[in-house]
Amino acid sequence: MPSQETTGVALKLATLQLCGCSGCHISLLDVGQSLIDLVKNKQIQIKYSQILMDVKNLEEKIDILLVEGCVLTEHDEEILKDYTELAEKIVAVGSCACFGGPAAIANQFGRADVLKIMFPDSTFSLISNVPSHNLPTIHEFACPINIFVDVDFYVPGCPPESEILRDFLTAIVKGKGSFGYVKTVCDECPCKRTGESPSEIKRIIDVATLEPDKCLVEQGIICMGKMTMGGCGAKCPKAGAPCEGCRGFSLSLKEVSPSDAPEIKKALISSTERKNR
Amino acid sequence: MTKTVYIDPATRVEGHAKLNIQFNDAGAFEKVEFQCYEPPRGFERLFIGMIGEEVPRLAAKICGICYSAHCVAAVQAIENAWGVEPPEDAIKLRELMLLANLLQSHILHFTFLAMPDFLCDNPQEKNFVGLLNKHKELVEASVKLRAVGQKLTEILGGRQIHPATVVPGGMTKSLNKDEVEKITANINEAKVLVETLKNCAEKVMEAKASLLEKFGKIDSHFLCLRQKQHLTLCNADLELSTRDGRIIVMKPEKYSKLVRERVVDYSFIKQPYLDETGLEDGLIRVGPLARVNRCEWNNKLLRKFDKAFPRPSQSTLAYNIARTIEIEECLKRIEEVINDGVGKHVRETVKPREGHGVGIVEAPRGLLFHCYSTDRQGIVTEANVIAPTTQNALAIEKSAEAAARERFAGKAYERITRDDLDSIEMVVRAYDPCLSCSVHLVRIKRGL
Ligand code: SF4
Ligand code: SF4
Ligand code: SF4
Repeated sequence: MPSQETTGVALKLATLQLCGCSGCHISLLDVGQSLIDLVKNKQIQIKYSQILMDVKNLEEKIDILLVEGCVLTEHDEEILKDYTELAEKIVAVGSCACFGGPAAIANQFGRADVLKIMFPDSTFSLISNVPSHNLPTIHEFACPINIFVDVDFYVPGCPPESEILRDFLTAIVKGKGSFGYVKTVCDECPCKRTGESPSEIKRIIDVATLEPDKCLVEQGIICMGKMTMGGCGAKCPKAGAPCEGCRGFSLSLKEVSPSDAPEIKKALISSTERKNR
Repeated sequence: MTKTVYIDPATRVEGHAKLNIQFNDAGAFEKVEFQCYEPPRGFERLFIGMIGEEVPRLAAKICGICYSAHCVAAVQAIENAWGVEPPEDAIKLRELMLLANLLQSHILHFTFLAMPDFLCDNPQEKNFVGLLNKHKELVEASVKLRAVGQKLTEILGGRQIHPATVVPGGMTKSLNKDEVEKITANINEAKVLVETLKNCAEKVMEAKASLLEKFGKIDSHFLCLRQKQHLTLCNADLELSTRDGRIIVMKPEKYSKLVRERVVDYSFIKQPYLDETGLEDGLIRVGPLARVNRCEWNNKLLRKFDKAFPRPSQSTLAYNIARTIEIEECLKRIEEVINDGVGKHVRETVKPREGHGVGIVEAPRGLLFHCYSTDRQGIVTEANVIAPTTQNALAIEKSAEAAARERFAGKAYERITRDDLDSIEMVVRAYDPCLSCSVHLVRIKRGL
């Protein structure tokens, strides 16, 4: 990847929204003045961004394509493939593009089941009530973009914090694609841990007074910090809320199983035993 | 042969939509279809089977622009189902979250999405980069103002986007002294910055008075939460103002009795309308114009608005000015709540029970409803979301049609220009449509 700093030519960039919530685009905007400066100093040049400018179609070669959202329709798939052809590097921005995101959680129910709830009169095999005139076909599964195209960089998070996107843009202008990597959210969480397992698992609505400086898991609340890729600065636990794993599984996990968090596993077992008694 | 001109995709709007402008055999303009091709992501299905306390955080992810509105409406609905009253201070924190969210969303729309239409001439320059060359001050003030909104959301919700702190029974954190000071400092800074936006709105109002008043104008009913002495985003009655000037106040739960919806085969958005008057006369609108039409705030820009668009105003493009008025009122209200003080008691334990609940807030784009049923353990058995853009869907289409009718009067299909099409898009943009949200509505059932 050529570095903008050595060539002096502005990096041509496009942002593409597939099936997502726009949160990743908003986080990109939250980069704020640093983003404005990159544009003003002609370090980057935005060639296409449906949410920000009026260019209806990307028709030229670009250096970097930032993709938000998963692939859920025929249209998502086509436009992703077309734009990938034009781009030197593809970046999956956010957990939808990286892993599928919320839409992919619904994969377990089957698309027909999901659509039946939206348009209640449709039957399983013949989705007659789902509007279809001139509309793209909806795929059975919501998929991350790497099912369809080769991805060069992954920037997970729901959405990735704007600090992360800022660092990413700055790195890419320098010709680098990677930057700091934190193994897990626990690694950057300031909450104190004693290593004890909680005696039982509780629902957060059962405990109104959580100790703010103590690990949530040790207080019986399930927190995904230990399995989740770090980088966000453990924002949720810092605000007293458990990590819900929005950045995806930590790369340090060998396999994803409850044995990765033995204290949760132990507490779950003891909670179940107590209930069964 | 009938002909169709497509505006595809609609740009400077959130999500995926196009406008299909149709002409008859003789080449004369016929109608507009507002086609949303954003697929439903399936949230209504996802919620089913979840424990109620997990719903607000997932609900936020319905929309990356009005996350806090979804989060708060969802938690209200769950609490309503369980018969729970959160502590006073938690209600204050949630109101602050809604206000902070409105601040960032409105500024995003006003400066980055709407103003290029009014301040930039060259089509290639109608975006924030073009604006940056000519109106650097406006862009830089807006960047800072948006950052204020996001900083507040981060303080209140733990994160700038998709907040984490909202749980049934209250909030996981309150505000400490440092945070209150930070908020106050930010608001003080914002109060200065907002002048740039107000000046800009005033200038646009003067320079384009008749365009703003007339273009894309339609005749509709309006729905909003009853506005108090301050910008009111939650905890208020529902107010319907009809086209013939009646004001009807009711409990928000009555919404389902008011509207019917139609499904059109060309769009994933359904189109609600006022049942009482039927489809033809039943257009409803929600959002900044609906709220400003019914407010009595002490606001200088509002007095100018009154002169330009006598209330109740039906001018579609006046939405843009209404938004600016709200930005200022929003800052005032944040200050009021903060000065009033937020205490430390922000959460109580909660016992789930079998029930059905409704949550209603004013999102930046208008009324937002969340409804859930849960079983005895608090597991969701039914979910329903009605987003503001859905309620505006029919009005968006009709406004675009009104604009097209004016532009294409006596003009043949062959003579359409880019400028014509851009102007129609500008009318759609006035609603600040948010399409990711809008397709997540489900059915409007009698008795919600
Ligand atoms: S990753 Fe999260 S923020 Fe980004 S589009 Fe998906 S749901 Fe929205
Ligand atoms: S489990 Fe959660 S609360 Fe505990 S240390 Fe890890 S991230 Fe922090
Ligand atoms: S703490 Fe967990 S849920 Fe919160 S932002 Fe970080 S990875 Fe996402």
